[in-house]
Amino acid sequence: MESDQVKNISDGTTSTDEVVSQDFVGSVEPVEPSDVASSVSMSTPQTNVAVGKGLDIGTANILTALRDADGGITIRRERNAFLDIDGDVHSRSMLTRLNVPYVVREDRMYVIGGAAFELANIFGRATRRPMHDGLISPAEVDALPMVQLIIQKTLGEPAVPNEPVYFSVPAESVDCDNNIIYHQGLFSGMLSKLGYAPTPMNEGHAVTFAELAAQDFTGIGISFGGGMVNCCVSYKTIPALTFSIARGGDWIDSNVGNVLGIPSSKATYLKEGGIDLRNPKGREEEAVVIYYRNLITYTLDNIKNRFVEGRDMPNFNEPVDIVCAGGTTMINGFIEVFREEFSKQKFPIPVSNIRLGEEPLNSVCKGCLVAAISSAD
Amino acid sequence: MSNEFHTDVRDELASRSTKTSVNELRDRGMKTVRVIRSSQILSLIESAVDRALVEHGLIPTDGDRAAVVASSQGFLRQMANGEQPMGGIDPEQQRRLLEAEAEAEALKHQLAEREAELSQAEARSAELDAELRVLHQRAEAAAPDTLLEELKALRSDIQGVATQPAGGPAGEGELNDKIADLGKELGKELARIGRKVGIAPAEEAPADMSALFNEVPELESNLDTVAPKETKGTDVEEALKRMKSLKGGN
Repeated sequence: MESDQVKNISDGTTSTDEVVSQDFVGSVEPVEPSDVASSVSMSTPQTNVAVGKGLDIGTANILTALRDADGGITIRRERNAFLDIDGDVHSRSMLTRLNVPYVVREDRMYVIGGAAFELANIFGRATRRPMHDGLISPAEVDALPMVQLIIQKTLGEPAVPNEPVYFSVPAESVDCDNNIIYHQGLFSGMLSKLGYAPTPMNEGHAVTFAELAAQDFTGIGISFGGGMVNCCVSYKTIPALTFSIARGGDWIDSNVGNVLGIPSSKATYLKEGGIDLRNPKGREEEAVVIYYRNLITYTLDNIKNRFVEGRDMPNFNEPVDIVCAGGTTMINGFIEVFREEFSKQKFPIPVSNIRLGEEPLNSVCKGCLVAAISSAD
Repeated sequence: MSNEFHTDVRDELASRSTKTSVNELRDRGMKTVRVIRSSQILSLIESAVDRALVEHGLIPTDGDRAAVVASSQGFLRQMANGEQPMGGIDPEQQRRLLEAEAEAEALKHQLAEREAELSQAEARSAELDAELRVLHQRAEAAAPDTLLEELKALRSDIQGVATQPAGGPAGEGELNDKIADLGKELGKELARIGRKVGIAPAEEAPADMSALFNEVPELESNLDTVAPKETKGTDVEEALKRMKSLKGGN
């Protein structure tokens, strides 16, 4: 049963995306962090590829977007999780053969990324998460070095000294106290030490950069992440309103787990196991649908309230688009249920189109990439 | 009927009047006295009653006259009893009168109590009105921005005090620590209020935490040999062009 579920997860990760394995450091020449210079060139010396990277530091996943020589983009993704295991020399060589990343720290072996998630489910354990509710977790003592390793693994070395990297940060939350300043400062410091010129970017704002180009970056971008939902109302690239809600995919998993009497990790499997929100089958799927609908309604209520309360809000002459992105939107039927719940609301501004991002999971890192390349232009 | 009342009037006058001898009157210096008959008094009463009824547009009947005369008799009786109240009232009436008086007294007492309560309620109402006016004034004066500014100033003051060197006794340092804690709590509350009212918190300088990563310990890992998973994403060329055109480029 468990192995089947693990297989599903693995298949779900790889079947929808074309996996292209290549060397971690890529074809560009690595730059030592100590080589950081103040100037930034427009392209790498070897490939003429525009510099700049986008980094989505999410509660559930860490993703990097970088531009290829052919104009396309490459996305590197890793689960933001780790698991400590008893390891010996034999285990280490086997993990390396299986392409499972690990690190040994203070005589403990830590498996990091998606492999940790899979191993945790095989051994019936819970993964350890460096982040909670969109921010670095204060409760997880090993969080910082682990998340640093995951970022290093996905981001790689800077193509040029001081290469611009835009990284996602959550907005101030409307329903919890979240210390954005510390979180932002921490990752800025980390990325600086890796040889990058870091700039924080609001997560919802990044969605508008990735998905609303045809609307001149005007509209509402919503990132449904693992730890939070981030919203941004943007007018011609300018964020008029940003805020976050301390609910997301983890909140759904936790509540589904509670009502069904199962661990959250099992609820995650259930959620990612091909449920269609429009056609739930059985009590377990009904529970998932209930919490999804609640999350969507709660988000729409908050957007509406902020429009009513907010000052200096733009007056949109034309109806605007709402774009939903993030890993939590990838469940079947999400956007249909979102439209259904939206139709029950009396929304304060005219909306022309509600849609999913082109690549919902990649939207935030792609938006950060657009910002990073544009900043270097 | 007049005769009937005449007898009554005469009896009443007889019972209520005193007899005085002529000598005694003379001793008092009186030389003449006026005398009126009881029938004349009754006649006077009847005439007065008739006049009164006519003045009110009523044609007196025998019944009316009898009722008025009876009332007048009662009046005369009471007038005569003026020197010794209750003297002429029967015990049952006296008991009822006493009860009524006691009841009236109790009602008066209750009325006084109610008036006192009403007075207190009015005073409290006035106090509440005053408080409400003050609150309204504060609410009008303290718009969210102003309130936040005041709180920020207060926080700065507290933090200023907390950062002053503790040159005094040991307790002063402890006090400063507590004030610093208070300042932190106030800062949190300030941010919370800001979020509630939709106002962005004060811009703070980004914290430089790069020192945290100055000494990265050497860790054994296989990260250099394990390739990260990569996928191809859709192009962002269109977004970059739009961005450039908005920024005033080509």
